[in-house]
Amino acid sequence: MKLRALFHAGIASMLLTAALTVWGELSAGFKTLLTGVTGHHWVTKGVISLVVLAGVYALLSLVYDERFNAEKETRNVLLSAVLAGIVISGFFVWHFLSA
Amino acid sequence: MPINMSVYTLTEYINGSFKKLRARVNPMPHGLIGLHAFLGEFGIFAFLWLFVELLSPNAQRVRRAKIAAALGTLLLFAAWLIGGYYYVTYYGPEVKPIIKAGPQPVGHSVFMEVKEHIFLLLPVLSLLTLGLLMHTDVLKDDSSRKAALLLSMLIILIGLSMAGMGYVISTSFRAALEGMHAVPA
Repeated sequence: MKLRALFHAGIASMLLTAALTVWGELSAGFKTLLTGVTGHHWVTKGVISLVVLAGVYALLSLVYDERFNAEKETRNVLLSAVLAGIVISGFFVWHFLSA
Repeated sequence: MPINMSVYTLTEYINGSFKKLRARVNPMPHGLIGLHAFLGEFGIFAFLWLFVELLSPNAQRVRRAKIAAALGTLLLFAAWLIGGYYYVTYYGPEVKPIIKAGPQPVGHSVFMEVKEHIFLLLPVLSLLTLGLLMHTDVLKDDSSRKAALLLSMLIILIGLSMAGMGYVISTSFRAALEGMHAVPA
């Protein structure tokens, strides 16, 4: 397994989840589109997160070699997860307070 | 609701609606919530187990840490499936409207929204931790061991925040139900 590809796929998946969440709340049309795929927008986001994880991993595995810097890649994953969490939390707090 | 209504009939109408709603809502917690919480919390415990094993690892502890990572990942995916089924089937149509109409709508509008979306990070993080442990030698490579410790710590912290937000959501639902029951018959 190419861990650099896996970690970068994880980063893509988490950041995309945050982006889809905010976009879906700001655009009723996009939320309807997400809902149309599986019947519920949240289920669609979950499926997309796994598909992106698997798809980006598969693609990057073709490109990357076996090198893996655990410290650097883990720091990037942690920063991405924290950023995704702040974006999601911050958006819903803002959305609630401004409603 | 009819447009031409006196204050008296409007009051009767609202009280009647609450009665119908009360008859429909079961105030007992759904069994699937308990199962979701059980799976999620034990998933978090598995990553806590992994964390402890890797603090001072040897071959046996690393073997147990791999088991903990696999078990934790399975439990978090199971919590996702069960929680997701409950959320889509029961929470959305039955619980969400009551919380939003109650005294603490923030329970859904902020806490549930944040919980359901941040939860989606957990299965990804658990897969990364599992992959890291399975494909590196943490006994020889200390940076991989530290990476696994940091990832599992993040999973534990997010998991604890899920439990806290679940408590707030339950409290908001209970407050809304109490408000409904306070309406005079």
